[in-house]
Amino acid sequence: MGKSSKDKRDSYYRLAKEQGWRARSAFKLLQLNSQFNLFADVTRVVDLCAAPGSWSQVLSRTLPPTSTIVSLDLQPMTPLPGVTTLQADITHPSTLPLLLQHLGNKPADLVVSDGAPDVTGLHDLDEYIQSQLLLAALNLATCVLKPGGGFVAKIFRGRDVAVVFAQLRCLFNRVTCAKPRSSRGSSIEAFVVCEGYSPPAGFKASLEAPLGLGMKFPEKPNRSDKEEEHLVDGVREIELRELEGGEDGDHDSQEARYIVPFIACGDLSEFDSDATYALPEVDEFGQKWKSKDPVQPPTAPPYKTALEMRRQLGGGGGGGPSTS
Amino acid sequence: MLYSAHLLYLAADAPNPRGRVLVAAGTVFGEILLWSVAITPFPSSGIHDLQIPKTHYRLLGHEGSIFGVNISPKCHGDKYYLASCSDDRTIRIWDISQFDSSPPTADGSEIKRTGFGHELTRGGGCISVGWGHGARIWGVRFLPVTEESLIELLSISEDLTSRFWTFNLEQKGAGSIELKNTATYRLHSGKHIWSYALDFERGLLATGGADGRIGLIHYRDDQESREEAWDMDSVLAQIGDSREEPGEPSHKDKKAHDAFKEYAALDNDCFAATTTRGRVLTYTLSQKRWNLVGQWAELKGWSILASWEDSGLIALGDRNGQVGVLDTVSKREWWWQSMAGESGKVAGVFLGSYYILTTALSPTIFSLHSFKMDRSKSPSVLIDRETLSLHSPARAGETKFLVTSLAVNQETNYLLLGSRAGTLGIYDLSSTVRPLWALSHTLVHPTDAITSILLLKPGILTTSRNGEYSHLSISSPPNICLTKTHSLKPSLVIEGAGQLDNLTLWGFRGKHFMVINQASQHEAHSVECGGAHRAWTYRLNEYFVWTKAGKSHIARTYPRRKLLQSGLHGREVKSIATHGDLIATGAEDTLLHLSTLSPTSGELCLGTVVGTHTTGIHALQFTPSGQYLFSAGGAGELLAWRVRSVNEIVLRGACEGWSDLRVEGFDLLPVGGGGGGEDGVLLAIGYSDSTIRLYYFSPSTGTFNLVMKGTYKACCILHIKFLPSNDGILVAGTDGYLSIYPLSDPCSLTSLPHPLPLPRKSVEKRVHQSSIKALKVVVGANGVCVYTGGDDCAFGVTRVDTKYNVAESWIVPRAHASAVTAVLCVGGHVLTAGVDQQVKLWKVSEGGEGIMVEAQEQQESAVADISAAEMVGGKVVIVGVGVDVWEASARL
Repeated sequence: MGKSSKDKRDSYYRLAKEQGWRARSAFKLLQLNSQFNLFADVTRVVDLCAAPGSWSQVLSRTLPPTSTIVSLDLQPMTPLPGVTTLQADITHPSTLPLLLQHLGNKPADLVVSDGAPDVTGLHDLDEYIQSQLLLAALNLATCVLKPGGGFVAKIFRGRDVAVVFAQLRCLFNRVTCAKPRSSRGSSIEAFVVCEGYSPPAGFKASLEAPLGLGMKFPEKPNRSDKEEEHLVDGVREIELRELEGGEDGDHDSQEARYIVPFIACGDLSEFDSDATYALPEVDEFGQKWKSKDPVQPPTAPPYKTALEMRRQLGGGGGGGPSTS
Repeated sequence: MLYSAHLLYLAADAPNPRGRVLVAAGTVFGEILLWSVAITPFPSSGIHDLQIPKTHYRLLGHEGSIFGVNISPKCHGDKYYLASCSDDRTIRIWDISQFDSSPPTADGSEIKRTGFGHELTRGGGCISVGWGHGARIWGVRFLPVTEESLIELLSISEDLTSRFWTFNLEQKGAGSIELKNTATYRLHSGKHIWSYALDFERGLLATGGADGRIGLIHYRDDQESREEAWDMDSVLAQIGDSREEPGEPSHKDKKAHDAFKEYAALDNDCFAATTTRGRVLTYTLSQKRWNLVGQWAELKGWSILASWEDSGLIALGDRNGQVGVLDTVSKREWWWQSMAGESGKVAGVFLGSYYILTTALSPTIFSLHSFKMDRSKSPSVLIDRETLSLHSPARAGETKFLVTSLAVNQETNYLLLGSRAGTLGIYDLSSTVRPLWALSHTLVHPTDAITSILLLKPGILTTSRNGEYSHLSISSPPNICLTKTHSLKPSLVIEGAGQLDNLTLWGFRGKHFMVINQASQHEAHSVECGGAHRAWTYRLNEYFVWTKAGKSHIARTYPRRKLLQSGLHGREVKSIATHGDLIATGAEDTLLHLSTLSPTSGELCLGTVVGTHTTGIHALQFTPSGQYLFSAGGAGELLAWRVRSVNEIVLRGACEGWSDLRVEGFDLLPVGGGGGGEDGVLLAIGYSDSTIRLYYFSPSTGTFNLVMKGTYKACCILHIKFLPSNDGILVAGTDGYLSIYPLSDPCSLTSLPHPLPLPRKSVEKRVHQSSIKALKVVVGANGVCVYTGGDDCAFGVTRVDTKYNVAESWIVPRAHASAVTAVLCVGGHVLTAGVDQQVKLWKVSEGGEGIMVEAQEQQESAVADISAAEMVGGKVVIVGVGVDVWEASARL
């Protein structure tokens, strides 16, 4: 398939190139922000698992220039104006003082994480690792967030997602599951938007003794206020008596589960990431439209050397002897 | 982050008064830590007394996450090796023998650089790197050491192969030790081998894939019976016949030297061969022994060889038009002129029992020779020989009929001939007309050779070099009519077929001779022989013989692989359609499966696997009669299939496709006028670029005519349904709307000179925040009722009145924790299932105030990424990554 075929099948990929974003995921944060107004009164923000840096780009283009933006990743990241980039492991205790130092030893208003593992195809494993990554991000967030601060992270809406929802609700006033229109409908990914950081009394954030991994979550605060459902206009809500999120049931054998409200972000007039679009005939300068190269070339895959070896051996197929 | 680990218990010894556990740990960041901790193995207190762990090595070098590590047993006195496999497609061997004396490595509390590509390795050298896997390697394992210097390993991978490797410690020379890939097995389909088990005593390897298959491989046996190869000199030396031919000048040019010409299998242990110098040989595999049957001057430079398997008899055609029958055991021979008045070369020899069809070089007349073997004599004697002349089935003006295959049906007395052009000629041998005319001549495999004809009960099976095999039914005379009831193309140049327990096909793919078990579509054997253009013979399940570089090669092919469980799709199932007890499933592995539900085990029993689609299959539907199945998916592909049973499917037509588009949903409506007593079918197709096209499909011609075309919006269409009232189509997409386009008379949309424009929408109702992932239309008490599942976790009920163009919707928000991807009516209830792997049952009722919904029951499914659900024989079949079958009645 030609270069422009991907432009047709993935309009956000094309737009990202045209607007100078390092990855199409920039639109996910933009659409989340337009729904939740995440950046209001935010001056110190931490971007975890930031490489290649499209979310940091969104932060640096959207926040006032006086803001502090600190981006962390294991991989090296091309520097961005107005962004402090650190190469560090978010699970490592030594990362915290480093991060705090770059925040001027003041708590952060917002922590965001778009991190995801290389998926294996084994759903249980992939969902587990994504949850571990989210927990790692959450642990670091609890160490730096100010009370009332926000946390946004990628989540896989798989089998046990309701367990993660229940855990997040222990620490934040409002937890919503959000899916921007720029995130493919066929993808399992969504985002948790956690607003109003309010750890229960006595909770001590620490990377030495992180949440999860055998540690108990603090008791769920009794939040009885009715959450807002995001219904489209002109439909009637049916309230269920039973099945209230499935929180009842055997607590010994099953972890607490809770289904948080869902919201689809981004206007219907915006591009649909699942649709195929005709390509524009002219670009913004009135010139004949041409497919652009990505802003940042994709990072070398771990099997780059293997591909080279295969090329040297000749022939793209099979490889290795075959025995009857 | 830890990705893989292996533990080895080290018993106490002099320097270590306690036993220790040696731990190898592979991380997501490409490093391997080797550490140990002293342990009291059976503490009386019940608490393991762990000492402070000691880190021995940090092994760096892999360029990707470590998915598997394995510590070797102690070998060669005091050596330990570590094997690792990675995202970087390599297997690495590390010498960790010195771990006890290595300086302790920092425990990692200092800030360390992470990421890949470290040039430095602290202690423990990588001694070998193995390449070969084409994707991620999920596991690696040492085999017990049987030979002093040779160490064996096994690996499993995402690339569907399991591989054996060896490295030789005594390998001399510079550089690292070579890790050699000695055997590769591929029994799975789709993606991934996830698990394995080894039985070292019996030499068995079992592998489990994402396709649900369990493959069993007799790996040891394989390695004991490698190929053998013979050059002509060794053969002649063995038969003691290396003398020069009488009367030939003793010069050493290449022509004078003998070479292998043709092969024919005789039985499980023996095959025959001819040579360019006119020799006829047999080879006995168990004795590794060649025998000379004889040498004929007329077979020099030209010999045609065929055999009647398990009779010891072969047929020969020579350069003077003589045909001979040879008993390879008694060495008796019978020769006669193949065609009266013809003295040219015999062009072809084709056998039935006992028939020989001979053709000349310019064939318009064939000769069919028949005889009997008088087994009362010892040795047997050929008697009652007759010759019958046949007109070629090709009439004047048609392509020459070059015979490539033959079968004789003794019951009907029909002679069947296949041609190089893919046509099949049928003769009635009981007819008395001379020369005999063909009853019928039909193109079966456009337009390549029919390589074999197999008699089935009923019908026949033909294989073709065009890659296709077909089941044909033959109607009774006087009007012989062939009907293709089943036809598939398993991506193989098919040379032959056999039916023992299952249909087995063999032929060539690239440089390999392949044997495929067609029922389960697994590769039973593959032999790298260099390609199709060579002399060869194959005895089903026993051996394959071929000529390569002047040598005669022999490979044993008796079954050393089998499937213990045949499994299903190798990737996510995206669609399901049912008719009666027949189930069609389509998946991202691009395959279409036909199966039935076993009434005893309640599991899916696979019938046919169809690999015609080039991308994932996202939508499937049967016509109400069940005669036709339509499948659609990526690349805008939509195919029409004629289905007769779980084992009988034929491609009937393909709709125009667009490489950039996907079809996520379509619907069909039988509209009559199809010709040949079959209904035509009106199809409404929704595409990913928001276009809607209506096609009329004619079953008699297999063609699709565009009758209506329009554009919905700009978003991707996910579902499209003809309303049960036949007065419109319902469309749902990623925008969460339900829309209706009225159609006044869909049955009139059969053939139009120009496609009509799509009418204006009569109903437009937004129900969900985003994608409508699942949709079910039912006729309710007050009109049409539409149940929907949304990406917004909600379950929706919409009442539509097409007469007054109104729709009312009710929503159960947070019905699931994830997208709701399946909706089904089960008894009087509605079942929903989602990516959260929950299956929920709802009671939906209509009252004065509208719709009421009550949650009834909730269960967890083992299927991840659920995409659809259907009813089969009162049971609910849920598909996704795997298949779940639920008893519906027990839940109501």
